[in-house]
Amino acid sequence: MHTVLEKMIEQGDGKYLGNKDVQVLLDYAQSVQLRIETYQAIQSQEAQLIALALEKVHVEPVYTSRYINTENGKCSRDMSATLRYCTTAMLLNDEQFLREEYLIWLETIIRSLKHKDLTLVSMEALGKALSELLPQAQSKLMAPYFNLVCDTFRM
Amino acid sequence: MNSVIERIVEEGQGTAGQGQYVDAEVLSALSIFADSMAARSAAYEAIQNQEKSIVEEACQSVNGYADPEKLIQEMTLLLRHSALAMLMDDATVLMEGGLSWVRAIAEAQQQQELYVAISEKLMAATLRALPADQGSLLQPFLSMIPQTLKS
Repeated sequence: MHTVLEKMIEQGDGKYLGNKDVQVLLDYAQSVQLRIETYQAIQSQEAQLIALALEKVHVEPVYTSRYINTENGKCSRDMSATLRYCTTAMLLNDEQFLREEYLIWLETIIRSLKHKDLTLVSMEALGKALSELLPQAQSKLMAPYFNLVCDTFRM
Repeated sequence: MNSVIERIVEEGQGTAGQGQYVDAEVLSALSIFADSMAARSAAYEAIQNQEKSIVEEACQSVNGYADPEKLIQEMTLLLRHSALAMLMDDATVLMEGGLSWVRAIAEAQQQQELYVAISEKLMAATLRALPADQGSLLQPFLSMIPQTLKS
Protein backbone atom coordinates (compact mmCIF):
# COMPACT_ATOMS: atom_id res chain seq x y z
CA MET A 1 0.00 0.00 0.00
CA HIS A 2 2.95 2.27 0.68
CA THR A 3 4.11 1.87 -2.92
CA VAL A 4 0.54 2.19 -4.25
CA LEU A 5 -0.09 5.42 -2.32
CA GLU A 6 3.16 6.94 -3.56
CA LYS A 7 2.19 6.13 -7.14
CA MET A 8 -1.31 7.53 -6.67
CA ILE A 9 0.00 10.78 -5.20
CA GLU A 10 2.07 11.22 -8.36
CA GLN A 11 -0.88 10.35 -10.61
CA GLY A 12 -3.26 12.51 -8.61
CA ASP A 13 -1.11 15.63 -8.93
CA GLY A 14 -3.63 18.11 -10.28
CA LYS A 15 -6.22 15.59 -11.50
CA TYR A 16 -8.60 13.04 -10.04
CA LEU A 17 -7.72 9.40 -9.65
CA GLY A 18 -9.61 7.01 -11.87
CA ASN A 19 -12.22 4.56 -10.60
CA LYS A 20 -9.74 1.67 -10.84
CA ASP A 21 -7.30 3.40 -8.50
CA VAL A 22 -10.01 4.26 -5.98
CA GLN A 23 -11.18 0.63 -6.15
CA VAL A 24 -7.65 -0.50 -5.23
CA LEU A 25 -7.93 1.58 -2.04
CA LEU A 26 -11.38 0.19 -1.29
CA ASP A 27 -10.23 -3.40 -1.86
CA TYR A 28 -7.29 -2.89 0.46
CA ALA A 29 -9.51 -1.31 3.11
CA GLN A 30 -11.86 -4.28 2.95
CA SER A 31 -8.98 -6.69 3.50
CA VAL A 32 -7.40 -4.80 6.40
CA GLN A 33 -9.26 -6.59 9.19
CA LEU A 34 -8.06 -10.01 8.02
CA ARG A 35 -4.56 -8.63 7.50
CA ILE A 36 -4.48 -7.30 11.08
CA GLU A 37 -5.76 -10.62 12.47
CA THR A 38 -3.08 -12.45 10.49
CA TYR A 39 -0.41 -10.02 11.68
CA GLN A 40 -1.39 -10.48 15.32
CA ALA A 41 -1.60 -14.27 14.96
CA ILE A 42 1.95 -14.42 13.59
CA GLN A 43 3.25 -11.96 16.17
CA SER A 44 1.85 -14.03 19.04
CA GLN A 45 3.02 -17.37 17.57
CA GLU A 46 6.41 -16.38 16.20
CA ALA A 47 8.35 -18.64 18.59
CA GLN A 48 6.16 -21.67 17.82
CA LEU A 49 6.39 -21.01 14.07
CA ILE A 50 10.18 -20.90 14.17
CA ALA A 51 10.40 -23.96 16.43
CA LEU A 52 8.19 -25.93 14.03
CA ALA A 53 10.23 -24.75 11.04
CA LEU A 54 13.48 -25.79 12.74
CA GLU A 55 12.02 -29.24 13.41
CA LYS A 56 11.34 -29.54 9.70
CA VAL A 57 14.85 -28.37 8.80
CA HIS A 58 16.41 -30.88 11.17
CA VAL A 59 15.12 -33.81 9.11
CA GLU A 60 16.67 -32.38 5.96
CA PRO A 61 20.13 -33.55 4.76
CA VAL A 62 21.45 -30.02 5.33
CA TYR A 63 20.97 -30.51 9.07
CA THR A 64 24.68 -31.23 9.40
CA SER A 65 25.64 -27.84 8.04
CA ARG A 66 27.09 -25.28 10.41
CA TYR A 67 24.41 -22.74 9.45
CA ILE A 68 21.58 -24.98 10.65
CA ASN A 69 23.36 -27.05 13.26
CA THR A 70 26.12 -25.29 15.15
CA GLU A 71 24.85 -21.86 14.19
CA ASN A 72 21.29 -22.63 15.06
CA GLY A 73 20.84 -19.12 16.43
CA LYS A 74 21.79 -17.55 13.10
CA CYS A 75 19.23 -19.65 11.24
CA SER A 76 16.54 -18.70 13.78
CA ARG A 77 17.41 -15.02 13.46
CA ASP A 78 17.10 -15.16 9.69
CA MET A 79 13.74 -16.89 10.05
CA SER A 80 12.54 -14.31 12.57
CA ALA A 81 13.60 -11.37 10.41
CA THR A 82 12.06 -12.93 7.29
CA LEU A 83 8.84 -13.60 9.13
CA ARG A 84 8.64 -10.02 10.40
CA TYR A 85 9.37 -8.41 7.03
CA CYS A 86 6.93 -10.74 5.23
CA THR A 87 4.27 -9.98 7.85
CA THR A 88 4.77 -6.23 7.49
CA ALA A 89 4.63 -6.56 3.69
CA MET A 90 1.39 -8.56 4.03
CA LEU A 91 -0.10 -5.90 6.32
CA LEU A 92 0.77 -3.24 3.74
CA ASN A 93 -0.09 -5.46 0.76
CA ASP A 94 3.26 -4.36 -0.65
CA GLU A 95 5.72 -6.78 -2.27
CA GLN A 96 8.00 -3.92 -3.23
CA PHE A 97 8.48 -3.09 0.46
CA LEU A 98 9.73 -6.65 1.06
CA ARG A 99 11.99 -6.61 -1.98
CA GLU A 100 13.54 -3.20 -1.43
CA GLU A 101 13.78 -3.11 2.34
CA TYR A 102 14.83 -6.70 3.01
CA LEU A 103 15.40 -9.19 0.19
CA ILE A 104 18.10 -7.26 -1.65
CA TRP A 105 20.02 -6.89 1.59
CA LEU A 106 19.43 -10.47 2.71
CA GLU A 107 20.50 -11.92 -0.62
CA THR A 108 23.76 -10.00 -0.51
CA ILE A 109 24.51 -11.21 3.02
CA ILE A 110 23.62 -14.84 2.34
CA ARG A 111 25.59 -14.96 -0.91
CA SER A 112 28.65 -13.58 0.80
CA LEU A 113 28.35 -16.33 3.43
CA LYS A 114 27.62 -19.07 0.85
CA HIS A 115 24.43 -20.00 2.71
CA LYS A 116 22.05 -19.48 -0.18
CA ASP A 117 20.81 -23.08 -0.56
CA LEU A 118 20.55 -23.62 3.18
CA THR A 119 18.57 -20.45 3.62
CA LEU A 120 16.15 -21.60 0.93
CA VAL A 121 15.57 -24.84 2.84
CA SER A 122 14.92 -22.97 6.09
CA MET A 123 12.59 -20.45 4.41
CA GLU A 124 10.60 -23.22 2.74
CA ALA A 125 10.28 -24.91 6.12
CA LEU A 126 9.03 -21.66 7.64
CA GLY A 127 6.48 -21.32 4.86
CA LYS A 128 5.24 -24.85 5.59
CA ALA A 129 5.05 -24.07 9.32
CA LEU A 130 2.91 -21.03 8.54
CA SER A 131 0.46 -23.06 6.47
CA GLU A 132 0.21 -25.65 9.25
CA LEU A 133 -0.28 -23.28 12.19
CA LEU A 134 -2.42 -20.54 10.64
CA PRO A 135 -5.99 -20.79 9.36
CA GLN A 136 -6.10 -21.15 5.58
CA ALA A 137 -7.33 -17.61 4.93
CA GLN A 138 -4.37 -16.22 6.89
CA SER A 139 -1.70 -18.49 5.39
CA LYS A 140 -3.07 -17.66 1.93
CA LEU A 141 -2.47 -13.97 2.60
CA MET A 142 1.14 -14.69 3.55
CA ALA A 143 1.90 -17.06 0.65
CA PRO A 144 2.86 -14.46 -2.00
CA TYR A 145 5.48 -12.97 0.29
CA PHE A 146 7.07 -16.31 1.22
CA ASN A 147 7.00 -17.32 -2.44
CA LEU A 148 8.87 -14.12 -3.24
CA VAL A 149 11.47 -14.95 -0.58
CA CYS A 150 11.97 -18.50 -1.87
CA ASP A 151 12.05 -17.36 -5.52
CA THR A 152 14.79 -14.90 -4.62
CA PHE A 153 16.96 -17.74 -3.31
CA ARG A 154 16.22 -20.01 -6.25
CA MET A 155 17.53 -17.44 -8.75
CA MET B 1 2.52 9.79 3.12
CA ASN B 2 -0.37 8.66 5.28
CA SER B 3 1.03 8.75 8.81
CA VAL B 4 -0.15 5.24 9.78
CA ILE B 5 1.28 3.62 6.64
CA GLU B 6 4.49 5.56 7.15
CA ARG B 7 4.81 4.32 10.75
CA ILE B 8 4.31 0.71 9.66
CA VAL B 9 7.01 1.10 6.99
CA GLU B 10 9.49 2.76 9.33
CA GLU B 11 8.86 0.80 12.52
CA GLY B 12 8.41 -2.50 10.66
CA GLN B 13 12.06 -2.43 9.67
CA GLY B 14 13.33 -2.43 13.24
CA THR B 15 17.10 -2.24 13.60
CA ALA B 16 19.96 -4.06 11.89
CA GLY B 17 17.68 -5.74 9.37
CA GLN B 18 15.88 -7.77 12.03
CA GLY B 19 12.37 -6.44 11.43
CA GLN B 20 9.92 -5.47 14.15
CA TYR B 21 6.21 -5.71 14.90
CA VAL B 22 4.30 -2.45 15.31
CA ASP B 23 2.27 -1.64 18.42
CA ALA B 24 -1.43 -2.45 18.75
CA GLU B 25 -2.09 1.31 18.68
CA VAL B 26 -0.73 1.50 15.10
CA LEU B 27 -2.87 -1.46 14.05
CA SER B 28 -5.88 0.23 15.57
CA ALA B 29 -5.14 3.43 13.63
CA LEU B 30 -4.85 1.38 10.41
CA SER B 31 -8.21 -0.21 11.16
CA ILE B 32 -9.84 3.20 11.67
CA PHE B 33 -8.33 4.46 8.39
CA ALA B 34 -9.62 1.38 6.53
CA ASP B 35 -13.07 1.65 8.09
CA SER B 36 -13.40 5.23 6.83
CA MET B 37 -12.28 4.46 3.26
CA ALA B 38 -15.78 3.91 1.83
CA ALA B 39 -16.92 7.30 3.17
CA ARG B 40 -13.72 8.95 1.95
CA SER B 41 -14.10 7.56 -1.57
CA ALA B 42 -17.75 8.67 -1.68
CA ALA B 43 -16.74 12.20 -0.64
CA TYR B 44 -13.93 12.13 -3.23
CA GLU B 45 -16.41 11.24 -5.96
CA ALA B 46 -18.87 13.92 -4.79
CA ILE B 47 -16.17 16.60 -4.95
CA GLN B 48 -15.18 15.46 -8.41
CA ASN B 49 -18.77 15.69 -9.62
CA GLN B 50 -19.37 19.14 -8.13
CA GLU B 51 -15.96 20.71 -8.64
CA LYS B 52 -16.99 23.19 -11.31
CA SER B 53 -19.93 24.66 -9.40
CA ILE B 54 -18.01 24.78 -6.10
CA VAL B 55 -15.08 26.67 -7.61
CA GLU B 56 -17.30 29.01 -9.59
CA GLU B 57 -19.30 29.86 -6.49
CA ALA B 58 -16.11 30.52 -4.53
CA CYS B 59 -14.60 32.73 -7.22
CA GLN B 60 -17.67 34.71 -8.20
CA SER B 61 -17.73 38.47 -7.49
CA VAL B 62 -13.97 38.55 -7.02
CA ASN B 63 -12.73 42.09 -7.26
CA GLY B 64 -9.17 43.22 -7.42
CA TYR B 65 -7.69 40.26 -9.23
CA ALA B 66 -6.30 40.81 -12.70
CA ASP B 67 -6.75 37.29 -14.03
CA PRO B 68 -9.95 35.58 -12.78
CA GLU B 69 -9.35 32.50 -15.00
CA LYS B 70 -6.01 31.91 -13.35
CA LEU B 71 -7.62 32.22 -9.93
CA ILE B 72 -10.20 29.59 -10.91
CA GLN B 73 -7.38 27.27 -12.01
CA GLU B 74 -5.55 27.76 -8.73
CA MET B 75 -8.64 27.13 -6.60
CA THR B 76 -9.45 24.06 -8.71
CA LEU B 77 -5.95 22.77 -8.06
CA LEU B 78 -6.33 23.34 -4.32
CA LEU B 79 -9.72 21.62 -4.26
CA ARG B 80 -8.34 18.59 -6.11
CA HIS B 81 -5.38 18.29 -3.77
CA SER B 82 -7.65 18.73 -0.75
CA ALA B 83 -9.80 15.89 -2.05
CA LEU B 84 -6.79 13.62 -2.60
CA ALA B 85 -5.38 14.53 0.83
CA MET B 86 -8.76 13.63 2.37
CA LEU B 87 -8.93 10.34 0.46
CA MET B 88 -5.49 9.33 1.73
CA ASP B 89 -5.77 11.11 5.08
CA ASP B 90 -2.47 12.79 4.33
CA ALA B 91 -2.07 16.55 4.74
CA THR B 92 1.30 16.56 2.99
CA VAL B 93 -0.49 15.78 -0.29
CA LEU B 94 -2.15 19.20 -0.06
CA MET B 95 0.81 21.09 1.36
CA GLU B 96 3.36 19.73 -1.09
CA GLY B 97 0.95 19.28 -3.96
CA GLY B 98 -0.17 22.84 -4.52
CA LEU B 99 -0.68 24.84 -1.37
CA SER B 100 2.97 25.85 -0.98
CA TRP B 101 2.98 26.92 -4.61
CA VAL B 102 -0.22 28.99 -4.32
CA ARG B 103 1.07 30.60 -1.12
CA ALA B 104 4.23 31.65 -2.98
CA ILE B 105 2.11 33.19 -5.76
CA ALA B 106 -0.08 35.05 -3.26
CA GLU B 107 2.99 36.42 -1.49
CA ALA B 108 4.74 37.41 -4.70
CA GLN B 109 1.65 39.33 -5.80
CA GLN B 110 1.09 40.73 -2.31
CA GLN B 111 -2.47 39.46 -2.45
CA GLN B 112 -2.56 37.17 0.58
CA GLU B 113 -5.76 38.76 1.90
CA LEU B 114 -7.57 38.14 -1.36
CA TYR B 115 -6.38 34.52 -1.49
CA VAL B 116 -7.38 33.95 2.14
CA ALA B 117 -10.86 35.33 1.41
CA ILE B 118 -11.29 33.18 -1.72
CA SER B 119 -10.05 30.03 0.01
CA GLU B 120 -12.53 30.63 2.85
CA LYS B 121 -15.25 30.92 0.22
CA LEU B 122 -13.98 27.70 -1.34
CA MET B 123 -14.36 25.91 1.98
CA ALA B 124 -17.83 27.37 2.57
CA ALA B 125 -19.00 26.47 -0.96
CA THR B 126 -17.69 22.91 -0.56
CA LEU B 127 -19.38 22.43 2.79
CA ARG B 128 -22.65 23.72 1.33
CA ALA B 129 -22.41 21.36 -1.63
CA LEU B 130 -21.71 18.17 0.32
CA PRO B 131 -23.69 16.21 2.92
CA ALA B 132 -22.51 17.01 6.44
CA ASP B 133 -20.61 13.73 6.95
CA GLN B 134 -18.65 14.23 3.74
CA GLY B 135 -18.04 17.89 4.54
CA SER B 136 -16.57 16.98 7.90
CA LEU B 137 -14.05 14.70 6.16
CA LEU B 138 -12.97 17.56 3.88
CA GLN B 139 -12.99 20.40 6.39
CA PRO B 140 -9.65 19.67 8.13
CA PHE B 141 -7.87 19.89 4.78
CA LEU B 142 -9.82 22.85 3.36
CA SER B 143 -9.27 24.82 6.56
CA MET B 144 -5.51 24.32 6.13
CA ILE B 145 -5.61 26.55 3.05
CA PRO B 146 -6.53 29.94 4.61
CA GLN B 147 -4.48 29.08 7.72
CA THR B 148 -1.40 28.45 5.57
CA LEU B 149 -1.98 31.50 3.38
CA LYS B 150 -2.17 33.69 6.49
CA SER B 151 1.05 32.34 7.97
